[in-house]
Amino acid sequence: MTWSAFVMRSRDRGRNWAEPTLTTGQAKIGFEEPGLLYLPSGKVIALMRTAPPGWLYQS
Amino acid sequence: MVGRIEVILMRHNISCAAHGFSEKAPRTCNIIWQGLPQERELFHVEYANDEISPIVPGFTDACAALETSVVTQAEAEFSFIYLRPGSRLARRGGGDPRRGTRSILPFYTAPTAYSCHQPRLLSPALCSQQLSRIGSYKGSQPQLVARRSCRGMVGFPVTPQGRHCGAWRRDHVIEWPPGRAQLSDGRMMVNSYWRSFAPAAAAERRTDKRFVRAQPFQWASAGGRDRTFVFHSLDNARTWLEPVRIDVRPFKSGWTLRPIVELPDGTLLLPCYDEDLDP
Repeated sequence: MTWSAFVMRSRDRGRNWAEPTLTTGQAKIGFEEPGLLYLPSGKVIALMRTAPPGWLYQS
Repeated sequence: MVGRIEVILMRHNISCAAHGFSEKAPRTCNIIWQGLPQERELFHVEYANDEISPIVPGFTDACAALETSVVTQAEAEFSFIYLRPGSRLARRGGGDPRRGTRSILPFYTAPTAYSCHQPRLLSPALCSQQLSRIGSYKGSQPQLVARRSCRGMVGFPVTPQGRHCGAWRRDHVIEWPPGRAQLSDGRMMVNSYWRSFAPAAAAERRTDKRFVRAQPFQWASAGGRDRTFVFHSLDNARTWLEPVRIDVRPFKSGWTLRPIVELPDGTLLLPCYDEDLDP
């Protein structure tokens, strides 16, 4: 059983969504419940927890 | 009768109310009423989505049995959780260590008010605005969404046996409170997903391992048929456009809890996750 955290992207204010992108690269552990944060530096941080629960990760 | 508990965040000068379901869970509610008032340091936890939880010393030896099938509270509701003696959370509660149980009272709040994912919403003034709306806020925005697009479902049940499922298709429920965001142009966006449920026997055939999760309920997540939606409002949640269903392929499901994030160029990012049952 594999858990995958990913992000969908919309370039037209939410009418269409595409480009599912993993937030975890090729990590071999499962992640779930991602939350995103945009920083003034231009970075986007994803916080997610491992599945099964144990650790909180940042990507 | 619906009993209400007031929660006061003294440092932020904020108060809000949470309610329990005295008719459906009278023993649990009675235990809590008898144990009030309680004052304790608050923790932000994630049992359902976002809660503020005072972890208090065990004020009762009574053990509330499961009185309803609802295992996850919605906004402005509270629940009551026993912590096993010696557990990490139980130790945070302090009090007499010989007492058998410690208790936790999670109060579900407006998720955006305490969301660590939206720091711009963390100002005390805005928190106060969010929390003070709980009385009318509960059900207002989600209900509008639900009434327009979801056949009258109110709230966010976790099983088809939950209290909110009467007007809902019995095999689909919205799971967890949705993510909510307000974009730079004022547009409000709510993201959520339907989870498909089936009678346990059918679900067992379809999903195998997943059936055990649903115990002791008679319904179980069917898996593989969940649907992801985004809802839009252009008038501050008074009316809602038709929901947009999102194709998350190659993933099977796009479960989504946290708010949509807007980038400076207007691009929107929607965080999702999926449990692949057949890797």
